[in-house]
Amino acid sequence: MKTQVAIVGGGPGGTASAMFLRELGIQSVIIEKETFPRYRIGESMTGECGAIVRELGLEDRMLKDKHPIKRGLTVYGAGAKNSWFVPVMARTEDGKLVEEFTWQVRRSKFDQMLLEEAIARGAELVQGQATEVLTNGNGGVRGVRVRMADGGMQDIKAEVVLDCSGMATFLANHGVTGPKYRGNYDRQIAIFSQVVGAIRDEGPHRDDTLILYRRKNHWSWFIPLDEEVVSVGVVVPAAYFAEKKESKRDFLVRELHDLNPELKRRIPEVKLVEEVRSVVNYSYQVRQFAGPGFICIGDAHRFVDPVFSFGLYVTMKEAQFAAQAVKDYLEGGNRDQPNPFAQHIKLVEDGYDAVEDVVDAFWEHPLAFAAFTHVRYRDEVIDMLSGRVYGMDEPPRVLKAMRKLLKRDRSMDDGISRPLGSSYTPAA
Amino acid sequence: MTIESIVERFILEEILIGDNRTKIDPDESLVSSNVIDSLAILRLISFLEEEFGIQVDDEELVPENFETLNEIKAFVENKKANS
Repeated sequence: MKTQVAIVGGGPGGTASAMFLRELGIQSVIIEKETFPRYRIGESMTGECGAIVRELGLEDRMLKDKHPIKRGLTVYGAGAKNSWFVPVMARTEDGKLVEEFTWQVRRSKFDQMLLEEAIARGAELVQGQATEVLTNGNGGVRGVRVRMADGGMQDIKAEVVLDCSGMATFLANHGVTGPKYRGNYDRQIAIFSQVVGAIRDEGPHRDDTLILYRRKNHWSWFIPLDEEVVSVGVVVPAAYFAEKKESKRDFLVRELHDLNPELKRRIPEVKLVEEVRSVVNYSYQVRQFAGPGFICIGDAHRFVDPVFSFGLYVTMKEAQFAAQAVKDYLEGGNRDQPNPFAQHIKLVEDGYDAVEDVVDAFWEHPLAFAAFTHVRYRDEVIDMLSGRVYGMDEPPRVLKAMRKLLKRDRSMDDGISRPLGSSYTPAA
Repeated sequence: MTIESIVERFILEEILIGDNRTKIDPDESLVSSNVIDSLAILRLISFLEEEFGIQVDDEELVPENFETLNEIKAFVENKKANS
């Protein structure tokens, strides 16, 4: 089989890629191993993620599917002694901040909707699993080999492969990219499920995201998924979970009452309606994640920490950027460069570095973060948490302040981001 | 009044209202013990800036500078001397 773009993975990265490519007149094949609907974590959108969904013409469908409306994020401090709220806001064309809403998503339903849309718009679906990367003589990628549902193998040749395999990091595992480095949060574990009977506020903020803090790197999320069900997750150092010697289920049920009084108040009786699952080692960064014939999207190259719900947004935004980069590439752009996607890498990494700095500042410097949010740089914090982190000519003042506190200068190596929290050392 | 007594009074009257306390020990931990929470510290910082005519830089927004009355006093004196 031959196509212009082979997309490994039919989650939001893959389907958004297919739809953005279709808008640019480019054909694609999506390779997906699971049958949908299937469960996935990563259920809250930033404001700008909602904007991408709108740009794809899917707002009506989102409203029809009754995904809960998110207008902001409330953080409850340790012991619920205080709380603070950051609204979701958009920027108008003349730069004014205005209230906007985005969505919380039950991923099984949302991802299935996106896949159906991508196919309806012309993407082809191959039900199978990519097992090998096909390369040409120069090490450039020219397709993937797929094990089909019936066990047979099929080669899919493409001018570009988009790795949208999420945390499976397909191309990185096949040695196509640069090395994968551990991130700052690689010794964390997230344990999560869904509950019914949880208490929400009344009014327009009833479906907002809540973050409940116990101490540094020990927190919970509370994300409504529909009228009755709330997704809850507890994120802690893996060592803390290990020393409790509890099953994941017992751990979650106990933590939901111990972690923060506000969480206990809202979930007086823990009634789980979903399996208790976990994710570990979720923090990493792959260098050189794009090159001749390939681009890795979202989780397939990098993830930091879930606290500010950037994951789904970054994935869909990178899909949008990649579609344009692919178009330029297919038209012959940058073919004489050592890396035809160097600009794409820089655009993506600069944005992700900003995300990482905001997340790290929240954990390492909570007092300063509170001051920036409430007093000194409120608009800029709203911008960043809404997702406006890409393509900034100059880092905003709040980001500069956070970098000063974190003592990092974001200098580049080889023109791309230097991984932190790892054993990375730049080449001599 | 000394710096530390001005600050003590502010904390007792504006932050720990209803706590029935009349005194804060100059070495009593305020921040890491969560005696005053982070939002209250922001109010304290605004008060220090107004009351003593100093500007707390972004990089100075760290708990160590406000941990005890003694630390706050040292911080304010330092800022005043260097302004």
